[in-house]
Amino acid sequence: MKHFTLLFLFLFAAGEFLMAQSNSIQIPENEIERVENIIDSFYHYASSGLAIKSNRLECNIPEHRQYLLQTENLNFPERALNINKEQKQTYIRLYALNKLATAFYDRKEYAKSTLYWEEALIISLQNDFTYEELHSIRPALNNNFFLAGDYLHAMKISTDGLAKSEMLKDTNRMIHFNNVIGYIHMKQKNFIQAEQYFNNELQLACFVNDRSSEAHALFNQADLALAQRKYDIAIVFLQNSQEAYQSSKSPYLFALSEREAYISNKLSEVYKQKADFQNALKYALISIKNIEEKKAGFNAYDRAGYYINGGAIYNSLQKPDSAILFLLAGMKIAQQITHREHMRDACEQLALAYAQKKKFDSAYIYHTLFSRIKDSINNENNLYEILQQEANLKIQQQQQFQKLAIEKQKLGRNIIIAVAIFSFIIIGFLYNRLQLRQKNRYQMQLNMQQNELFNSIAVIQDKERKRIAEDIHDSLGSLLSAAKLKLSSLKEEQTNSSNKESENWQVTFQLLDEASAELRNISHNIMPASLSKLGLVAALKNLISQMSSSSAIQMNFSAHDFKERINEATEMSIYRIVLELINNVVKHANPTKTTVQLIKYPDYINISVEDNGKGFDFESEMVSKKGIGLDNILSRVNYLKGKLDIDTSPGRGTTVIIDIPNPV
Amino acid sequence: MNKIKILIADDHTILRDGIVSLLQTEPSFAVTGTAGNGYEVMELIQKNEYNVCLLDINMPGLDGIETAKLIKEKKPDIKIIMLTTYNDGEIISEMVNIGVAGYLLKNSDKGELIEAISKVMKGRHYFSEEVENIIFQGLTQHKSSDVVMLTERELEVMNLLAKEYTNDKIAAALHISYRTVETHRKNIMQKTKAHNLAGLLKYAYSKGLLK
Repeated sequence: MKHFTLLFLFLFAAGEFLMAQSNSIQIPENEIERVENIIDSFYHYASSGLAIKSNRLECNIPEHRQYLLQTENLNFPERALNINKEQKQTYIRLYALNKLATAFYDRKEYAKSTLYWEEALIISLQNDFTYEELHSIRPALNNNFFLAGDYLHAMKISTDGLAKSEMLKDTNRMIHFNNVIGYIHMKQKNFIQAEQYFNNELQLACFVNDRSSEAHALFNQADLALAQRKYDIAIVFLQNSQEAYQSSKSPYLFALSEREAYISNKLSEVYKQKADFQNALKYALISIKNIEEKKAGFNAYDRAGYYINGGAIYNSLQKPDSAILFLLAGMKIAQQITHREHMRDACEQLALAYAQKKKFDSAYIYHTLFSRIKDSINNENNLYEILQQEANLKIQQQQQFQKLAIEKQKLGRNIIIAVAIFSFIIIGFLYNRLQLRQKNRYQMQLNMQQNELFNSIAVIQDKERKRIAEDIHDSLGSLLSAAKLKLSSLKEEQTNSSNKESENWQVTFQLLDEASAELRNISHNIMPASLSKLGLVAALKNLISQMSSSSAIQMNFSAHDFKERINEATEMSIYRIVLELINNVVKHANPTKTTVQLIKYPDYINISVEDNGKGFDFESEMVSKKGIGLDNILSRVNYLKGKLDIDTSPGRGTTVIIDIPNPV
Repeated sequence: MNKIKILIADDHTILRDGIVSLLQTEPSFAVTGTAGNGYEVMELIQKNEYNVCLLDINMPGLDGIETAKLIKEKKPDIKIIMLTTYNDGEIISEMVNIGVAGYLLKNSDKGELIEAISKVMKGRHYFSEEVENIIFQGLTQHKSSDVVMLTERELEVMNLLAKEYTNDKIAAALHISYRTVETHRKNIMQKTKAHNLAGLLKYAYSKGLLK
C-alpha cells in the first residue's frame, strides 16, 4: 500500500506533465508499433509543414488522431512549427524518444524508459530544447530514478534542473524543482534540508501569487511534519493547504474536488494517529462525500482507500453497523481493481466490526479471508487464487446460513409444541453457547496465527544456521587450506633460512592450524555437518560422545529403528531439542549418569533424556521460570505438534519424555 | 617406472590449483585429472585410468560421500583419499566403512600429502593423526554403548514387572510418575519386539537380564 501512496503522491508532486500522463488513455498492447506509426505520420506531417495547425494535428487515421489529441500536452506539434528547419529532424527524434520512454513507463518497464529519457536529455542539452528538458525530460527521469529508489541520480537530475531554471529565471520550474528536491530529502529523512526546499517552494509560489502551488507546498510541509510525527503541525499545514486550494482558480472543478478529498483523507488519517476519532471521522466523511458526488473522476484506488479508512474509524468509535456499510463499499471497489492490500485491510476491519457485533461466524469468515489474502500477498500468489478462495468461502458461508436456517425452522416447530417460557429459556441458553463457541473459534484462529509466526521463525533460523555453518566451513576453510599450501611451497623455496626465520615459519603454520581448528569448532557449534550429511542419529551419537568425553558425566545414547532419515527440518529441530536438554542436564542437574534414547515407532518418535541428578521442584520452577530454558524446547515441541512430559522431584533425578508425530 | 596417476576433486578452484602445483613438483606423480563435483569424477574415471583419487566431501551435486561409494562400486582399484575439512567422528567412520584408503584433513602439509599417496599405493592406509585419534576414540566408546540394549532404568522396570508389580507400584518403587513407567514399558516392548508381557519376560530370561 505504501508503494501506491508513494506513487500517487509523486504523480501529484511531479507537476503537470505527470498529471497529464496519469489521465491519458491506456496504451494498447502493441503500443510500441503504434507509437512508431504515430511517429511516422508525425514525421511526415511535421516535415512537410502542412498539417500542424494551432495545436491540432491532422491525421488520416482516426485512432491515431485521437491518440495524438490526448497526448499533446507537451505541445510538441505546436512547438515544432516554431523550430528552424535544421533542428526539425532532431526535434522529431526527441519526440519519438519521448513517446517510446512514456510507452515503456506505462508498461512499468522503468529501466528501458530511463534509457530513452536519458538519450532525450542528451539531445535536448545539445540542441538547447530547454522547454522539453525542464518540463518533461528531467521530471520524468527524476520520477523513474525515484521509483527505483536511486535517490542519488534523482537528486542530480533535479538539482541540475533547478540550477538551469534559476539561470533562466523560470519561476514555475523553480517551484517544481524545489518541490521535487525537498521530497527526495524527505524520503531520505534529511528533514532540515527538506524543510528548506519546501520553504523555497512556498515563498516562490507566494511571490508569483500562484495559490495552487502554494497549496501544494503547504501540503508538502504537512507531509514533512507527518514524517517526523508532529501531528499538530501537520494538521495546521493541511488546513492551510486546503484553504489555499479552495481559493485557487483552477480551471478544473473536478481536480479541486479530488484535491479536497485527498487532503481531507490525509487529515483524517492524522487525527486517527492522534486517536482523535471524532475529527478523523469528520474529515473521512468529507472525502467520502466528495467521491460519492463525483464518482466518475476519482481513481478506484483512492475511492476504496477512503471508504476503508472511514470504516476503520467507525470501528474505533465502536459503531460497527456504519463501519460495515463503508467497509463493504470499499471492499467492492477494491475487488473491482483486485487490489490486495485494500482487500486485506477491508477484511481485517470487517472481522473486527462483526466481532463487535458479536456475529462471530461472519467475523471468523472475514478473518480467515484476511489471513489468506495476507498470506497470498506474502507469498506473491496470483490474484486468481484469492478470488477462487473467496468464492469457496462464500459457498461455505451460504451453506452455514442454510444449515442455520433449517435448524431455526426445526426449533420453531418445537416452540409451538413446548411451553413458551420454557422454550425461551432453552433458546437463550443455546444461543449463548453457540456464541461462546464461535467466539472461541475466532480466538483460536487468532492464537494459531501468532503461534505459526513464531514457529516459522525457528525454522528459518535453523536453515540460516545450516547455511552459515556450511559457508564458514567450506569457503573460509578452503581458503585457509589454500593459504597454507601456498605458504608451504614458499617455505620450500627458501632452503637456507636462519634460525629465527624458521621459528617464524613454525609459528605461522601453528597459527594457521589453530585458525582452521577454531573455524571447524565454530561451524560445528552452529550446525554440525554430520546432521546434514548423515542424519539425526549420527549427529546425536557424535554430540553425545563429545559431551561425554569432555565432562565427568557418563552419557549413553541409543537409537532404535531409524532405518531411513526423516525430513531435514524435523531433524534439525529434534537435534536442537536434545542439545538443549543435555545442556540443561550438564548445567543444572549435576548427575553422574545420563541416558539419551530415541525410538522410532510407526507413527511417532519417542525421545527420552534421563539423568540421576538432583532433580527439581517442577511446580515452583515453572512459576519462577528461572533458567530451565524450557521455553525454547516447548515451542519447538509445539511446532512439531508433539507432547512433552517432565518427571522430576528434588533428589530423584529428572526424566524428560517427548513424543513427536512422524512427519508426513 | 610409471608415474602415479592422480585425480583431484574439489569445488574450490584455488585450493585445487594449489594442490596440483604442489604435487606436480614430485617426479613420480602426475595429476592427470581435476573435477569440481562428483558427476565430473564419475565421467572422468569411466574414460581414463587413475591410480589415486583425492576427494573433497562437500561438493555441489554429488558429494564426496556418495562419490566414494560409487567409485568403490565402479572402479574398486582406484585408491580413494579423502581430503576434507570435516572431522566429525561419524563422518570419518562412515568413510572408513565405505572403504577409503586414506583420510586427510585439509590443514595437512605437502609432506603429509605425499606420504599418504605413497602409502596407499603400497596397499596400506593413511590417516592424519587427528583423524586416527577420532577413530580410536570412537572404537572405545561404541563398544560400551552398542552392547547395552536396554537402559538401566528400563532394566529396573523390567525386573519389577517380572515380580508382578503393577505400573502404580513400579512408579512408587522407582520414585517416578505413572506416565513415565508407561512410556518405559512401551519403549521396552518396542525395542525387544515383544508383543506382550509374557513374550517380554521370555526374552529377558533367555538373555539373562533378570536378577
